[in-house]
Amino acid sequence: MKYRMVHFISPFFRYKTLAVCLLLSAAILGSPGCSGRKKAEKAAQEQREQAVQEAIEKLKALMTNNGMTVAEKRAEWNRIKNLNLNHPEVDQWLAKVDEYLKQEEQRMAEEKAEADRRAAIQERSAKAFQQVLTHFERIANAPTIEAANTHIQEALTLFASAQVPVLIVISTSPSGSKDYDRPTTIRKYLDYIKDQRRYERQAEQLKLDEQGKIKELELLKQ
Amino acid sequence: MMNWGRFLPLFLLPGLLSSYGLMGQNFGIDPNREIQLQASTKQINQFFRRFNAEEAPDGQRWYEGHVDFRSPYFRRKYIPLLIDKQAGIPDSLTSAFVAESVENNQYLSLHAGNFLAEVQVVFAWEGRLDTVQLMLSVQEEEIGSKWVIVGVQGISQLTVGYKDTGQVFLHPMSHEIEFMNLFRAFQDAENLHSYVKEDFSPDGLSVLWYEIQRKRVVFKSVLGVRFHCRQIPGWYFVLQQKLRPELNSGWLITKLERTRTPHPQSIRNE
Amino acid sequence: MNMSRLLFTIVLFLGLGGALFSQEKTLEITPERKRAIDSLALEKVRDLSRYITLVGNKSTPFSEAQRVIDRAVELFSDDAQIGVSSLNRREIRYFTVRRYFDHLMALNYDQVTVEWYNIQYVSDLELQPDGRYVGVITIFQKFTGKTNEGLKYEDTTKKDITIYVEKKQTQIGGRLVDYWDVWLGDVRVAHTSK
Repeated sequence: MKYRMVHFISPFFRYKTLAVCLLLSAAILGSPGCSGRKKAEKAAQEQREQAVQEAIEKLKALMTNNGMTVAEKRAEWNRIKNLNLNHPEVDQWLAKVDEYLKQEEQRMAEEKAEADRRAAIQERSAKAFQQVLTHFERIANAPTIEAANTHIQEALTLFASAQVPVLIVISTSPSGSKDYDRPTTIRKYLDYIKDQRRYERQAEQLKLDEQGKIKELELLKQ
Repeated sequence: MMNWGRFLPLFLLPGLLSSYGLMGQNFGIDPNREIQLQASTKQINQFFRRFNAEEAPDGQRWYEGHVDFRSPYFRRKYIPLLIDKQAGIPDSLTSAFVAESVENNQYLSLHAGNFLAEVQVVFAWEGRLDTVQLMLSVQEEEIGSKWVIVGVQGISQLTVGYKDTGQVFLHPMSHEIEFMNLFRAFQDAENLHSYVKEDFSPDGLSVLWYEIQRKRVVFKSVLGVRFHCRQIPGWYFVLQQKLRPELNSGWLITKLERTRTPHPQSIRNE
Repeated sequence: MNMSRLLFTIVLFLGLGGALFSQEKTLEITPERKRAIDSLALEKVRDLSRYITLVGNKSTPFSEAQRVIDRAVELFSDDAQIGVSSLNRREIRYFTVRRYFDHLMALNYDQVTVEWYNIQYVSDLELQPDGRYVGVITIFQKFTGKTNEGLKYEDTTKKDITIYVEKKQTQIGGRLVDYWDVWLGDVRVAHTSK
């Protein structure tokens, strides 16, 4: 039993001596003069690598629907570009995203132009319908047949022709499909106002042609 | 006596489409007359809707799913109002009719059969006017339905020669002379019945059909119409329009009878 | 899948398709749609009244009256008849719409008013064999005709007006538009009181 104990302890002491020697030599070899610079370089390299990776990830994200507006995306692209990372992969992505953003910006511009155009049309339609309503009212309240006929002729100048179709919505189903009355023409509808002395006061749709004349009128039954 | 006045307001609520009150210049309209017209049963369609309690007292249509649709409460009130008060129908009979119709869930429909229209029509028969009765019923088709003529009664010409005096006939040995004596039968329109089988009765619709094809008959006008209804088992009633300035007016039951058999096939002998 | 089951599925599918198709063909009229059609039909009847008033008035120039008659005739089917009976004449007299209006013009009142009782009844719409729907609108009207000399004619009538309803389709500005064509048919006019 005693022998076994000695046998166990003696190698431990042998390793201890070796460890002390190693520690000493390390302390001598690892002095700040040379090894510190390398370490800093390595860290800087690592930092740069990280910045490049981040930039690439962010650039990639700009091409997805990440909740940012196109303007925000462009600002972010500018920020990344100004980092001047000078990295071929980053440059490649910058170019790619730039191309994508240019397309998006163009699309946005087109959409805005379309929206503006529609708003303008709507405004023109609304204005045109106000004019139409004024004429409707004049015809309905004309004191004489002659006066009503004059107002009809005036009203007709707003339309592309006397044959312009007039649709009247009688009901709309919950699914949105519309039920119409028998389609008529503006000439007949104006005569109808003259005879019946009443008219529909709400427009569902009014289409103008290039000359600004009404080419289709859709009214809503009260 | 049924408390009829108590239920009258049921048909007298304000007009169903009040906006249409603006349609005319109502300065000369008698408001009492308007109340009468509201109470009046204006169409057969409305008679059915009221009988079944499928419309509100103000005339609004009740569809299936409405709380009062076919409600026994309203039916008990409505049906007595559909009886012509001037027709002399006993109240006891009316009460029994109402009770059986409501308790047995019996409803009326244009499409349930046993509903016959009797139309008085004037025809000119080679210039001579004759009033006949056309019987019509609703026939269901692949799509929808239509009224069809099922019989014609009362062609006055057909009553001529309808008596058998026993004095003229084709004698029993006529066959031996190859019925050459038939000339006598067909010269004798007054006694035509003596020459045909005992139970023969000319079919009015066939006669009218033939005469119209030959253009010997020209339609002139409709004089009136009434309806015979046997849709309620055990009952037969007649519907007629009474256009009179009263609350109890319009299409009303003018004749109400119990029948022995629930659904007799024909009303020809009524 | 075994053959009979497949066949059953196909038959079921075709069957359902057929059912949907036929439903489309004879378009169901829901209570909501019925209300819209009812008011449209009532409006046609109201338009007719106004045309009667215009044609009956002496102040309406002849050419205008002719135009109004044309418009009134357009509300009706081509073969529509107006059947009139009076209290002392039960027999129905028949007029074409145009003749009815011509007759009205010939009466030549200085002033005609058509007043409505605030009562109308619109029947259910029944499907007829050609796929169209038919209904009857009942209205009550008081007609008053006056001459400048003070002569006055007055009557109250019950008018039972046939209405036809059909779903139609037409092309407007390059698109297909579904519409409900509502037009008037035979009119039964019964005098109720003087």
